[in-house]
Amino acid sequence: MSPALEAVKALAAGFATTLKHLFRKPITEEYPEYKRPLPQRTRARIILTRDPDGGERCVACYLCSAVCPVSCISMQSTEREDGRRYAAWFRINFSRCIYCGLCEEACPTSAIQLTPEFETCERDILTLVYEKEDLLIDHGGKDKEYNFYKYAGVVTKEGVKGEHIKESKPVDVKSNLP
Amino acid sequence: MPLTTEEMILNMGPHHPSTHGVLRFILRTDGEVIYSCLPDVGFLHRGLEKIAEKVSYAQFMPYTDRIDYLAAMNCNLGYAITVERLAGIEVPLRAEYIRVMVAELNRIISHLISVGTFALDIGAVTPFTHALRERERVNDLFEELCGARLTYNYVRFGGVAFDLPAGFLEGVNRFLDYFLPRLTQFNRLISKNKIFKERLSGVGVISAADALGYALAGPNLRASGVDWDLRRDEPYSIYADLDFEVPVGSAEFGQIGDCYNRYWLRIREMEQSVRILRQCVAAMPDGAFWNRSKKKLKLPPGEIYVRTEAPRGELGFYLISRGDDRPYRLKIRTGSFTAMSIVEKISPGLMVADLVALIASLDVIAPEIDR
Repeated sequence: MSPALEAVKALAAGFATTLKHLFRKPITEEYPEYKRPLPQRTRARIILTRDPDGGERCVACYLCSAVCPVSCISMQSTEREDGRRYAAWFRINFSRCIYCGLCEEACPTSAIQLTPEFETCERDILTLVYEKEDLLIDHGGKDKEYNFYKYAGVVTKEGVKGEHIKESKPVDVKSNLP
Repeated sequence: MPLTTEEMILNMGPHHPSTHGVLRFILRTDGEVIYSCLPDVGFLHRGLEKIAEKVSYAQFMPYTDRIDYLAAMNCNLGYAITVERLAGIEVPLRAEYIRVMVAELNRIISHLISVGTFALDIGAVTPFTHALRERERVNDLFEELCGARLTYNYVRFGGVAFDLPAGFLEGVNRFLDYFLPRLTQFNRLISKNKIFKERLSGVGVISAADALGYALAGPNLRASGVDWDLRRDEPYSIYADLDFEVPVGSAEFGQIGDCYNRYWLRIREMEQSVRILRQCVAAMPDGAFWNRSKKKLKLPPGEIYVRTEAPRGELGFYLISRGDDRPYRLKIRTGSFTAMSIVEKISPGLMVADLVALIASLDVIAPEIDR
């Protein structure tokens, strides 16, 4: 076959493929009009969740701010009168956050979670600093039923020693009975 | 008598669509012919090696995503293996299979970008859209798996961050069934195109001696006829148990080591990745996916160099530990950086348009050059 003919054949094969695609359904999605459902694990905007009784889950243990590679989480811990810890203030700087998800992995109480909500663009970068009231939402996120203080062996209004889930009664050290 | 005109200094980049990122070339040209070409790297330098000394071992994992953002899984994997070998962390078998599976999926989509942009750079726009369409399917799979489409942060020391979601293996199988015919179609569209072949064969030939001398790695090295693949020759993870071939450049069309060979080798590597993936999906064992330690990781004093086969060649981590919770020094060796140095050697005598093809065929990516 002459080179010229081969070139024409190559062009024809290419155009034939393109022509076939003309009659196919486009795979593009019209984004602002159509928002496709994102998987549960999608990592975007961070929230602070509440336990089923409506209490804050965060116990201000600083694990998330310690594990954060870009140091975008800061907080101040304090204690309620019944011994329950909470964050006096909690701040995430979303202009630094890289959405790596390490905070969610570190959280012992399943309080801090990443959600698929990704549309958090702002014109003013300072509005991307989220305070506790912006982060706190009134549901349990991915783990609806979990309540840390029902498992933790700390005396709160959730129960005294021995009344938590998977916790045995305190041993009476003065008794010699088994 | 050769016709010469006045020499001209031409700045290509830093913002040029064919330089695959922020990359600058200083060209001395005579009309269209290049006398010399000096790559000017460093525009995307983020100091990752220094950051590694400031954050703990686990915290550096998201940063490895940014070494080569088109192959973040492979970078995660390389770093994880480095730390695991020095710390002596055991990895469950299921995690090893998951890791190899995601690494090979990532290799496919990285090569898709490579061959797509290669065609785009020399003027064929349609193949790029086809390549990206296939890539989206894998991105969707990854999003389901780890929640991100580009910076996965998925591999952990001793396993992976999440177990496979329900239906993931079927999703991979569906993708593979879909992908192979599309690859054939892609070949019909552009790879086997006579004009495309003529344009690239014999352009930017890198001999095997040059490739070895300039420490090229990965597909660029193999396209020059050097049969060297770390997955086979220095197997890590479970690659020793898998059955695959290592494609090497051939003189089937054009010369060994020319632009077309580098392009064609990536297409053939994708076929091999499909083969590996099929084996991984078939043999996926049950069990734990993460041998997780709650303690803060401190490595024993010592040093280690671990290299893995990333889509852009050898990705090496040289780690020195002084017994702290963070590295004393972490050196990252990437394939793109060495590939950049050979441009200076190969480019004299090429046309400016051929330089674009040469850069695209080397498949360099700016953040990996600069780190």
